[in-house]
Amino acid sequence: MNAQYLQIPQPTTGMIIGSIVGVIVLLCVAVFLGVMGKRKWKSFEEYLVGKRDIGPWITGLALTGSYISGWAFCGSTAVVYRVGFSGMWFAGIWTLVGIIPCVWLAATKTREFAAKLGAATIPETIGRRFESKGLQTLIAASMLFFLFIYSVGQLKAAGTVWYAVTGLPPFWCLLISIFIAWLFLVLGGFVGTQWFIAVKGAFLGFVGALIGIWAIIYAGGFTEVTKQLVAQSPKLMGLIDPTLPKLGMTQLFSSYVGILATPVIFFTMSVGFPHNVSRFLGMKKLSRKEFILLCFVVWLTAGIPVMLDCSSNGLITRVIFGSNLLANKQWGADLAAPMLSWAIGGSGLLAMYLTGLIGAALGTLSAMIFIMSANVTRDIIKLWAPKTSDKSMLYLGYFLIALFLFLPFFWTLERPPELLAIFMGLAAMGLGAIFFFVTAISYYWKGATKWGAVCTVIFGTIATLWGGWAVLSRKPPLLGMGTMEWILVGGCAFLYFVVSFLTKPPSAKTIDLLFPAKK
Amino acid sequence: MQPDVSAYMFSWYVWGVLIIGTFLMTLIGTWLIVRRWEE
Repeated sequence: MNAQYLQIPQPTTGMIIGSIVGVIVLLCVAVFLGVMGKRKWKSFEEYLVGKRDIGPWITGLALTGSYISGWAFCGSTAVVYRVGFSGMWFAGIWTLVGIIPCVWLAATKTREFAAKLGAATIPETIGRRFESKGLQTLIAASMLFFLFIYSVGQLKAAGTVWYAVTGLPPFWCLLISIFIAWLFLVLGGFVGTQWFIAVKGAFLGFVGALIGIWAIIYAGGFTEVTKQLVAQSPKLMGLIDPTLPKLGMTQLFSSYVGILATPVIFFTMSVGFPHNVSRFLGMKKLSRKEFILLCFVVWLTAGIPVMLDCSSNGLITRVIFGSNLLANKQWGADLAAPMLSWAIGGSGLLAMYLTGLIGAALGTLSAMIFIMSANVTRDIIKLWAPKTSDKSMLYLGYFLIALFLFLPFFWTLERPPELLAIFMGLAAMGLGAIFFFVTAISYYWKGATKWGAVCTVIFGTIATLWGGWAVLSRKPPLLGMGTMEWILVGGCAFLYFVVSFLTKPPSAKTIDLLFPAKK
Repeated sequence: MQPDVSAYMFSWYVWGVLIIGTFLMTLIGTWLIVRRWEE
């Protein structure tokens, strides 16, 4: 430990009580919204998608809430704290390059296609758009696979930070949190979940912006931060760090091939993430003003807070703590964001941050778990056995939600994935590359075919698995993470377009319904 | 000897351009979409 910089504090009574109170309030809000949401649905269909009457405020905030995960609220600051400015490319400086096009490309089209086709899930929308039950099943299976991988890491940051900050084992905090998540998912269905994620999105936007702006003022502004960082190591201020390995994950910081891949990663993943796009399934038909409002809400809550969180926050933590956090073998850089909030705002801001982090993990996890459950019930069982009663589907859904919540909880406590950011990063890349084409491009291109979509899903899934080995498992890595992104996106694009050109599109009836001639 | 900080400020300029650039992207892109909005 370097005595010149601040040390990691021991948990105090104020930190413990503040954190517990914050989480209790969060969970009470979740239960309240779940109970309120219960009034909004009466059938399995309404449970899955509501009455398609949710306005731009809740939809926009819910998109922010589903997008800002534990990784965005914790891991991104850790990356920049560890490697300096060059980490910002991967840490989320491109957030708006992804999340705003997600609104532009997917908001109205998802709502319109799903309503016209009577679909309640994204696989159902795409399956009916291509008139293929097989494709719907394949998409559901692929989503299940990717979302499971992605969900595993969601609780790790929350559990780690909870333990580090309060000194209390994360078991009870996480167990109670996932029980409450189960309760509001079961009670509230789509509407209750949408409301919870929206409230969480608003809170995260507020806390993120507060910490980001407060930290810059606290540190004495940009020049002072630069002076302090250069004194530690001039490398911390470089936009690229060529001294890091050009293979593996660090390619994203050390080479232009990697850095140029980062906006593509953020773009495809934001537009393609099923838990993002699903936020629009229950949206009302928007007027021009409401669409502008939707864009503004997303820009305000997802843009600025995350951009500060992923860049300046990590640098300022480095100014305050030096490399002391890295010396902590147990938690390391994962402590960057919570320690920054404690350093600049004391126990109060730390409690707000921790509440936000647990909310971030729970919100994103809930959005994913709801989809995973519907993948099995609606997109596989109900699809192939349509006579199965809605009541059976609801009860099975309740069980699956419990199962899918329990697995990440168990994995977090028993076998936590060591590299949170990397583990989720590749699943996110795979999800983005596949579903950007299969979902978003299919909304706009009449010539797309089911075989183009099938080949894209199969290639993307296999390539992601191979990439996990080649980039992350193999020592030394075979190629860089940026190169892997180009392979994924390039391969998916090639197969989607070429195979679609060579095969037959859906019937004219479906095409005319979804792509009406302009007046 | 104090390092010359101004030589290292370039990263912040890029950062600022990204913040402003993505704001303008949001503004212009949204305007282009709603310009032809069919109510």
